Amino acid sequence: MRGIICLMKVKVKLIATYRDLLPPERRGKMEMEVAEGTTAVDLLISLGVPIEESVVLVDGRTPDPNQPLQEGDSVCAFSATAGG
Amino acid sequence: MDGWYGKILRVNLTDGTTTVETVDPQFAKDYIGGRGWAIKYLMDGMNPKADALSPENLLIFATGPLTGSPAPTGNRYMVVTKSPLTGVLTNSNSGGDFPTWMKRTGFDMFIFEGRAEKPVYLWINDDQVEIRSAEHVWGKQVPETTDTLLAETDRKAKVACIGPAGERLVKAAAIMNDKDRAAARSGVGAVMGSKNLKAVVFQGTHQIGMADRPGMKKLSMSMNQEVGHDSKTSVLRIYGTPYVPDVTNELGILPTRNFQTGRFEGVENINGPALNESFLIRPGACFRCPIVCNRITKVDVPGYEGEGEGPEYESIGALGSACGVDNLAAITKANYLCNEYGMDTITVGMTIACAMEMCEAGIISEEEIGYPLKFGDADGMIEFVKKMALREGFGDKLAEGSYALAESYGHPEYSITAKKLEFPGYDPRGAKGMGLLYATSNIGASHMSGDLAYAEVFGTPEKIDPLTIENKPELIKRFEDAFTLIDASGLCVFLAVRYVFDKDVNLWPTRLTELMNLTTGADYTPATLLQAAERVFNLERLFLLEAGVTKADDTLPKRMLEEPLTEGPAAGQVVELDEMLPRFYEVRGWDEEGVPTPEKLAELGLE
Ligand code: SF4
Repeated sequence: MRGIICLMKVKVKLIATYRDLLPPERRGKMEMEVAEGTTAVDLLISLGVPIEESVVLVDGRTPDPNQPLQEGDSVCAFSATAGG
Repeated sequence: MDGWYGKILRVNLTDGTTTVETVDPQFAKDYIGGRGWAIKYLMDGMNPKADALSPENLLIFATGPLTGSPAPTGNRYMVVTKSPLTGVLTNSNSGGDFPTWMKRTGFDMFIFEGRAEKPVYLWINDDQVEIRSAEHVWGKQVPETTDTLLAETDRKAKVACIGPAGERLVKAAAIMNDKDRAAARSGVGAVMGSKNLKAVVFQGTHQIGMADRPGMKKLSMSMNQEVGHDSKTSVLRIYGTPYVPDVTNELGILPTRNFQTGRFEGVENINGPALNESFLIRPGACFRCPIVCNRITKVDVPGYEGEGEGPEYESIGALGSACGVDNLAAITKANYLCNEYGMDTITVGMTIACAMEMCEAGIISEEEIGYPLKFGDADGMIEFVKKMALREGFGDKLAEGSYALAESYGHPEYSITAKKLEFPGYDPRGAKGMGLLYATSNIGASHMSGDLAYAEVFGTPEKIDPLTIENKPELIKRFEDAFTLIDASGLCVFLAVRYVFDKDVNLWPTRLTELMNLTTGADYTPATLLQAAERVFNLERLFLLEAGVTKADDTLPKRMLEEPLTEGPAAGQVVELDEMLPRFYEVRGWDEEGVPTPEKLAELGLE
């Protein structure tokens, strides 16, 4: 028997050098569908984001790493670097 | 002495004399250099209550022991003086080439006192010191002044000067060096203008003694390699600080329309990729810097043509989103104009943003200023940058800064300042530590006084929650002391925060201690260095208290304390300053009124 996989739409935004991980015409922004239970970190790793040296945000806040994404969430990542 | 020459040049502009003073080695060590030495001379040499634009004010240029050393980014100097914009202290930092050339003159520090009868400049070529007439460059913009003075001295020399804004005592006036680098904040250029000192030109061959030169070279080389291989720092080379608007917008703290909100709909037109695609020619670097964050740009959009350096994030925030302007050509043009007239882009942009809001609120009328100034008006913004620099028409009011402007209409609440210094580009309602920093920095709302945004926003050295207030008083003390140390030693903060402290949020200066000891041989420990920084910070606080500052001045605009943000992750948030401030005083060893206790002063040798 096969289970039903629920897909959810989330927004991804990759800033500065991480923009290059998405196709250029996306300009660092993309809507994606992820399976239920996916975390922000899972999603970003699948895109090639080096998590260890990154700031990860969901709706602008630092997420609990085990928290699954919700429909409509906005996931953002950028390199943890010196300020402005 | 190694690391320091132990020599200060005192220039009396009133009678045109110069005196060489020597420095006691114990003093040199206890106050480190740069910002540290300067506050001691300022405190001992002037009445903190004196008018900042009177001859009584001292204008101090100071290098640190690492300025001109092999340490990467050892290229900074500090301008320390009483600020005419804020009425309190200022210490304004700049890099480029000039500070290294300053060190090659054989002096660690320069003190300018009095006031020249006519415009002059100081020309130092090794041991030859001359005060020359500057009447032929008075009125000239920064690039022309620089070129003229280099042509008549030595083309390989380096220049710091003021532009027309400094001459007119505009309170946003900066001291520009190498044309495009600025000791920008708090109106230091107006102090220079009030002294009729148009420029200083430095050339020299002196080399600083070094306790362990091979050791210093080795450590510096390995740091250069480390920086070169660090993908995180490469962001600054590729995009420079303009990568930041996307970050602060995401966090809902990008200053927008005079800090009415923290999200700007036009952010994608003013971010790093937009700058790279349209105007960036190449990245540039200050002397001996492996990070290479400067932006060398050229604009050929009709009406906005120009070339030079910038804009940096802070300029994009103040001249762009804070004014509701998303036209990057116009922002870049305004940035060039600020450099040419010699002004601080933050105070300029934020003062115009303040005027825009007051115009929209009907407090300033179109009839009065002869222009319908509104948020989003790029050309109006540029027009008022020029008027401000030259004090033309309404520009004369803008030239006093946003606090004086708003207060003159009976509405100081429209000025987004702390101690009358305009906010930099982080809305503290969404980065609470920054709120405490703006309220307690010794120069007013400056991020450079202890930039906890590194941790709250950028995750360096580690990410902390920007919306909580727990532990923020402790962290702000740490960051203020660490940044004092950076300013006193002569490094650039971009390098320092990441590479000379231990990699956690407490910023323990293990590697900085190593660099300082290889240079000075002064046997610092991380603890004694931090204590010296704390000594400097407390002496600065004493200067403020003597100038008349009280606890009531350690505050933020009403908007930050009472009007919650309405969108983004920080929606509903204000700065809970009342809850953080008493704890901050306690952590600092100050009493309930914000005055250092006798015990604290004794501990620091300041009694
Ligand atoms: S990091 Fe940027 S500002 Fe700092 S020294 Fe290097 S080029 Fe200059």
